[in-house]
Formats: sequence, C-alpha cells, structure tokens
Amino acid sequence: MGVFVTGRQVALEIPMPGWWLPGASVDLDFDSGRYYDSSTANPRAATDFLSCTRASTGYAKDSSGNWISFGSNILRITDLGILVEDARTNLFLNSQAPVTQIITVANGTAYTVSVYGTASVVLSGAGTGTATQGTDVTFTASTTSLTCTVSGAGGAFQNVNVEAGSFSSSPIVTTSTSATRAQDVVLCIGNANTIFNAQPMSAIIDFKDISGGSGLGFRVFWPGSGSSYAINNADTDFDHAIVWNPLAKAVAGSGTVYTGAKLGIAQDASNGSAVLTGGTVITGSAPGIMPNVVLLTQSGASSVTNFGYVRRLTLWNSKLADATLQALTAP
Amino acid sequence: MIDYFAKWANEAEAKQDAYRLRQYFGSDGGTVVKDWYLHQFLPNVQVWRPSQDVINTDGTVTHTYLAGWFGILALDHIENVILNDNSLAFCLNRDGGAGVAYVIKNNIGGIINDVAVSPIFAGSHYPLGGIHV
Repeated sequence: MGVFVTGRQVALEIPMPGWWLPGASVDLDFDSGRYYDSSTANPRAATDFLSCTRASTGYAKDSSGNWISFGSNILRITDLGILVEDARTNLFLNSQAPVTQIITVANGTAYTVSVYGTASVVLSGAGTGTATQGTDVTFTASTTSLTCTVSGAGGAFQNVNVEAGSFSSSPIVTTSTSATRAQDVVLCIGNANTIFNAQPMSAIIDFKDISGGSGLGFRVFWPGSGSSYAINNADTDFDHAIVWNPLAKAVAGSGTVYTGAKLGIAQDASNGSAVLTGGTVITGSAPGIMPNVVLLTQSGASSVTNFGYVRRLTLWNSKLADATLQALTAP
Repeated sequence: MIDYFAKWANEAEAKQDAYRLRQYFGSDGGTVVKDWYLHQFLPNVQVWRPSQDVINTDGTVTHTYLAGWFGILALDHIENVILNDNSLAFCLNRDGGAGVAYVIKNNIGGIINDVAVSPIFAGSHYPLGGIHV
C-alpha cells in the first residue's frame, strides 16, 4: 500500500482482493471474460489456456438472447460461458431467409425443428407440429419427405434449423445446400495443460448441460491418457454419478448438470478425490496425470454427445483438501 | 480453411484407407479408423452433377448422386500428404477470392465446374461450378 500526493489530491493505492479463487494457479472466468495466471503478468486471454478446433463457423447466445457468430476454430465465448457442441447438420436451405420447402429425411430418425425470428413453420409429411421461436418440435420421421410450410418470416435475427437429434442446437446457417456445424474440441493448452499434466493438482469446473437430458454420459475432463472424469447420466434417473477412470469409482452426486453443476477433483501421485456440487467425496489411489485434457467432449467419440457451457475453470498446482473441494463446489 | 474433398468406394474402405492418415481423419481402431474426427472431417457427403438434375412437376429437384463415398477434411493449412493422397478428388480454399484461388488442387478435371455437394461445413463459400454456395 502506498500514499501518493499529487498536487492537492491524495490518493491511496490499496491492493484489492483478487477475483480469482484463493490460491488458484489459473482461473478462467468465461462468464465475466477475465482470465488469471499466478505465474505471469495479468490479465491473460482465454486462448492462452484453451484451443478450439471446429472446422466450421458457429453461433453462441449471450445473456441478452443475442446470437453471435464465431469463425472456424474460434472459442465461442459469451457471458454465458464457452459453448461446446457436437456436430449437427441443418437440412433447411437458406435458413436465414426461410421459405416453404420439402426436405428429405431418414425414416425412423428423430429430428428437431427450431426457429428464431417471427416465422412459423408448420410441418407435414414425415412429421407434424408447428415450430416458432421458443417452441421447438421434435418428431420421429414417419416417411422420407418433410414439408415445412413457412409463414410470417422476419425479425432482426432469423434462422430455421431442421436437424437430426432429440433437441435443438445453436443456429446453423445454410444457403443453397445443407451445412454442418462441426464438433467443438476445446483442448487445455499452456499452463492449463501443464497443471493437468502434473501432480499434485486440483481443478474445479462450473458447467451446464444443455441437451435437456440426452441420456448420454457427460465427459467433463477427458485426457489423452491417465485419469478421466465423466458424469454418468446414462442411467435415466439422472443421479449424475461421477465416473472416474481408470479407478472405476462411481458415486451419486447431488447436483444436476442440466441447471448447472460444479465438479471438483484433487489428486497427487498417491491419492485423488472427486466431488460433484458439494456432494459425497469419492477417493482413490494412484490417479494418473492428465495430459491434453479436452473439456466436455471427446474428439471422435461417436457414442458420446455433449452439448453444454463451461462457465468457469479453476486450477491449482496443489492438492486441495476434501472439505475445500466440497465447499468450493457447493451449489 | 482448406477443404480436402476425398472419395472412396464405401465407408468401410474409407475407414481402412484413411487409417494411414488417421491423425487427420479419426481415432485409432487398430487397423481402421474407429470414429471420424467430427471437428474436422465431414463424412458421408453426397455429390451430384447439377447438369443431370431433374426438375419434377411439383417443383422439387431430383439429383443423381455420384457413386462412391465422399468426405470433406478441413484443416487450417495446406497439408501435402493429404494433397498428394490417392483419395483426394479436389481441394478448395474456402477463403478464396480477391486474388486468392479457390481451387488448390483438382484431380477431377472439368467436372469440377459441374459438381455440387451436400452438406458442406457451415461458413464455407465456393462460388465456382456447381458449388454455388
């Protein structure tokens, strides 16, 4: 603290408590767009710690409901966090100037139609229903021909998605042919990778599943080798057990990944702990280091489909006590 | 972004052949690609020649899809091992224009001016031949 006298003014320089969690080595607060690294000058950028591979453009929504476009291989960060999605293909042509059209679909496959703007899309043929903004229609195709009858199109941002899947994803802009938004692979790099790739270490991730209950496992920390951590919601009662491989540990968590959850892990060469939203701590011995961690999704894993936001990721180069993990992951 | 349009006889052959270049195409399944890398590879792309399209009485268009199994690999750079691979049909720079060529390599000759594909990666832009997107 210092006292400076400048002319007739007196200013006090008082060190303010940092916004980062106590003792954190790296704290990435995507919601607020602030990034901290204890080992270097701050502030830092998200791209110092994470890379994104996505061979297409993509959209992400902010807290005001605005859709923001991001280029290929760019992290989709808004004040809601980093949006991570699997690949989806929009079959609706000229999606931002929607007109009535007939779409070829696969009989027996689930599709979801979503609309942004003032348009109303009435479905007939392979599926039925009326999709408008905020009211998606999901159906299982009963034939191979879907007629989308559009009326009332307009609005500052308009888009129609017709995509295979039981829930809608972010807008995928098409022109004269269908288009695919590629899968996001968000990889820890720089000091984030250094911390995951060493022991002792701890991590807390604040994330949210937006699949609405796809019934699929949610791979939170998925490294190239070593320990991995997933939320198992494959059991349809959604008790969200932590699955910790290769230790094969699992326990029911107390949170729900659909409204947001925090997963905390702490490990050294001898022991490890994991906890979901302040619930029961599971422990194991000899956890592996985790190089090249991918967040929320796994490249090339067709059996796992993750759609969600990462709101915050905090890392320590020390092993936090179990009670601290519970406290920091409490709802 | 550089888009490499590849062709194989069918997906099984594609997964066998692409194993040589699996660091680009997909995960290691031992002797084949196990799962395609969906962050940079777009599998099962349909290809047709617009000159062969049939416009039906109800206004819909019927395409005659070309035989074979097609996919698009997208990288942020030119990779010669992909560019020179036998599976490559043609290679486009989606950021072409303003003096930058769209076509980086073409192994299908004049047909490239009469070829259309679906789907493409969102954000792609190829104002040439049948790929007017």
